[in-house]
Amino acid sequence: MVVDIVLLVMGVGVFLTPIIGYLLGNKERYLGYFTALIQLIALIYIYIYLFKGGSLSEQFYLFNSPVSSILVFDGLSLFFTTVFLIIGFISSIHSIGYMSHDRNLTIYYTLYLLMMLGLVGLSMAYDLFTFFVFWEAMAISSYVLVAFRYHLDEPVEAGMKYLIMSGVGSLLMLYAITLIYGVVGSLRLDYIIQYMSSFMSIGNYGLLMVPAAIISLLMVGFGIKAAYFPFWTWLPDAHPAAPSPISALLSGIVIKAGILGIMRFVLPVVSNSRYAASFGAPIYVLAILTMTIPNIMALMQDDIKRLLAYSSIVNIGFILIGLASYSYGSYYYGAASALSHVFSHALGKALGFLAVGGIIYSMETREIRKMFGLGRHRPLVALALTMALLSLAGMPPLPGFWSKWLLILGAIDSGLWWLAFFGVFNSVLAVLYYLWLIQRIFFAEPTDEVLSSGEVHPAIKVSLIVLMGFMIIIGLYPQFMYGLAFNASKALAPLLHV
Amino acid sequence: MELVLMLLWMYIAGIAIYPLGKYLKNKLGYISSFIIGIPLLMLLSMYRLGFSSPLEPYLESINWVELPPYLNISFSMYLDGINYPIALIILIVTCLAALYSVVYMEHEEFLGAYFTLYVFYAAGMLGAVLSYDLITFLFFWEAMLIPSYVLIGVWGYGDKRRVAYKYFLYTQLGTILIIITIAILGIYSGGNYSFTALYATSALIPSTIKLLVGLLAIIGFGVKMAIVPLHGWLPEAHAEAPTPISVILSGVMIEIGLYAVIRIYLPILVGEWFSANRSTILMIIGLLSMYYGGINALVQKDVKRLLAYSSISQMGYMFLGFASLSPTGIEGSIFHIVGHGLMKGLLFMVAGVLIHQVGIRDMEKLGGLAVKMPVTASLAVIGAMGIAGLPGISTFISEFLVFTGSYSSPSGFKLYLLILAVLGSALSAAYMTLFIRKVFFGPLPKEFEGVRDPAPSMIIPMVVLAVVGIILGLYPRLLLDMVAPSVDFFLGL
Repeated sequence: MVVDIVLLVMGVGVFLTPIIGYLLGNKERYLGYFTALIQLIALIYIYIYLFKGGSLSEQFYLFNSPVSSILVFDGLSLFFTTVFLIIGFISSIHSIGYMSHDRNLTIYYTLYLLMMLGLVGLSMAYDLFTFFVFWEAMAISSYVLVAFRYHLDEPVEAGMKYLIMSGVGSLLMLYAITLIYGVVGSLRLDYIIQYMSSFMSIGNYGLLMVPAAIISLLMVGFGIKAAYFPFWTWLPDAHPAAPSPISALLSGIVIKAGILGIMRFVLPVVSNSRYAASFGAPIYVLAILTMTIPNIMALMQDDIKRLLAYSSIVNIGFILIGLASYSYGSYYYGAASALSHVFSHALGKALGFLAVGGIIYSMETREIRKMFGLGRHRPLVALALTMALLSLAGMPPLPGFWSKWLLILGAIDSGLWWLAFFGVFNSVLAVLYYLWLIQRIFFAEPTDEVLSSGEVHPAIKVSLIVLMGFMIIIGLYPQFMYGLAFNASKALAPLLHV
Repeated sequence: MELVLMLLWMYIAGIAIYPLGKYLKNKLGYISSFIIGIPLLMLLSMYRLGFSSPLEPYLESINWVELPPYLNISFSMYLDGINYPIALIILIVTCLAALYSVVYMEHEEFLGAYFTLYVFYAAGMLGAVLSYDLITFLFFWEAMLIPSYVLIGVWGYGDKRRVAYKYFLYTQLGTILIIITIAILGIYSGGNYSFTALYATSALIPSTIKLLVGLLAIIGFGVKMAIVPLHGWLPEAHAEAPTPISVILSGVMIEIGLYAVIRIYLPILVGEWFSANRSTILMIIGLLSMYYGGINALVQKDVKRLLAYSSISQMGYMFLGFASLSPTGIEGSIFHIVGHGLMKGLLFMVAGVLIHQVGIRDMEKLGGLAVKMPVTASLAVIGAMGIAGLPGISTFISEFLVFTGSYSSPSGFKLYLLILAVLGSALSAAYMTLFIRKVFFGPLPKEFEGVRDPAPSMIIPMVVLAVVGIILGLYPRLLLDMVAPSVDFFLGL
């Protein structure tokens, strides 16, 4: 009784938002509170359910004819729902301030909540049909949100690029789904795992092409959303062009939907077959390329949002380290490390974009050299940005420290020394530009733009303080993050963790 | 829970003094000194615990992450004969340097932030030394980096931003190697990171992996220790940091790397690690640091740079003691951490007095100041005697132990290495006498007529450091008695 209620709350929210927006008329900017409230209710409901001793294996059959539609609430759903709703909640508070000068906010908040509904639904989908429906709900609303300020050139161009690339990804995914249906005769995950792994154990290389094709297509589909090598090209355009709270959502959680797809539908299949390592090998290479190339690109950015966007790709590479070590046999640490990095990066990157949102709100620029010396003039925003960067750099007592450490542990546990080395190397490379940015913000003399910058909206301040407080709590008490991640990794491979 | 309370107190009080910065300005130094003074008194009252057996050290443990088959991290603090002296010296030096900051930092801005970060820095070092769990250790190890980086970058001299950047990157590179070693050790100990569990499972680690762990640990901590090929950040960082921070950097922070290698990694690696060849190589690295630092110190014009290079050279002594892999040598290194902390702290404070009272750091332009500032000059002479290793000061005892220890190393070349080491100690005497002569003797330039000894709040810390150094020099058993049994235990004697 948790899956349906959470989705119902979110769904009702999506339908009520335009109505309330119509009723509010000129005061539609207050819809932000409603959006935040809906997400908070969903989040609190989940934790009340768990607190009352609710089980972590609930299944909910929407319908069960040839193409079944099943929702599940297990460790993985709990993990991703928590991450999605926390970031969604905080970003919607931020939106109240950041979007206060925009029009058409009814549309904005409806799409916002629809995207959140899609994400929450994704984390609970147990079959590919349901997954695809929620995937499209999330994807389509995110295209529009990227291009929300449609009177400007940049967002429309970026949104178009994002639409085309992501649309192709969705199509490839759909093709993979039809192939799966042809092979398995069902889209339920448990049947997929069972039939695909027996199919792969026949040992006929001709027959093996079918699962190989399916997995490759799925990996491309998920990969375009997750933006790993070589599918990242839309990300450095789309994430900076979107309004900052949307950038926080895109970089913080939407790209993680691709990781969720891999973890839910690809990893269990391959890790239950004999070919786990042959799946791991390309992931290994992808991880290295995804970490290294954007890291070098990030070194030469002058646009702060582009810098953060490149750093998001780097962090997807870090998450792939965890997936690679999982497929190479580190069942204890592999998936859990990837998941804890999903958590810590979601917090860190969301805080980074929200802080930049505060800077853009008060200074109306994204150029780094105009932000020099911000620390003395706008201490809260600068502190939030610094904390985000330090967490991404892996400094205690912030969540990034715990997750990066676990990633290296996983890589070494599975014997992937080179991957551990590259992870470490890139983590230092990233420190180069994080630190460069922090130094410019705090140590340099304030520029004219900084001195003439306006006050930051209180809603933005509240969102930053809430997220900073949450990050410090997680950093000092990582049991919450680790517990969620290890629980989720148990749900990931039901057959392995007997 | 006294040790945990100490840290909690330092962090909470550190945050609490931040808003006072606007009103009290540099007077906040008295409060910071008081904040650090309380844990110092607590630690002194726990003197007896320093003698607890390393087999069952005094332990305070709180569960931090508990996921039984995967991870078991505890927030644990301990005291035994090895970390007690080091924790003590950290608190003494930081407490006194806070007092010293009152006058030294009087013309600076943002002093609320300065003293908050200062207390955090002290707490980070104390936490790193007291940790009984590798993850707790790593946590504090990183937690002491950020405050020190900001302290150098904001309140430093010269090209301070570049220097701070360099310092951060070097240290972070080292830290990353340390993280790899921790990950490796954790896999063999089943996710339990307390030292007891690590030592208990160390026999399971294959020797090639042990070699790797040892190598990574020595390189990783070597960056912080600034042993020679990895010393690039030190001369600039120590010279350009504000002087109270230089006191801490040189006096206590770089030694924490050595402490970690000895206390955490040596017991794990003990066994086949004690081969003659490895001892020889490590001793040569130690000698290299001694000579490199010493020779560079001879040719410096800047007072603080001379002292920075001297730190590299002194680090060489300590590393030599460790590299001898003999109980006497390691006792000597640990005792040298204490003595060097006192004496180098004292000398950096003297350099700070020159900067504050005279405003000149270039030794070529200084001279004859002994007449004008007799107290400072006398203290400088005591400090110089300490670094040169003259009897009566605790560094004499520790250098003697290091040299004795290096003769009992398993290395085949120990005699030659020992001779080189003893000859190298002449360098220390050379640059120290040079320093004293150039700064305090010779003709007094006219513009220095009005120079006086500084205010008492700058003199008192220096006097205390000198007195503690002399007491430990005359009666070293105060601390040496607790070091020796612990070291013997870890080397399996």
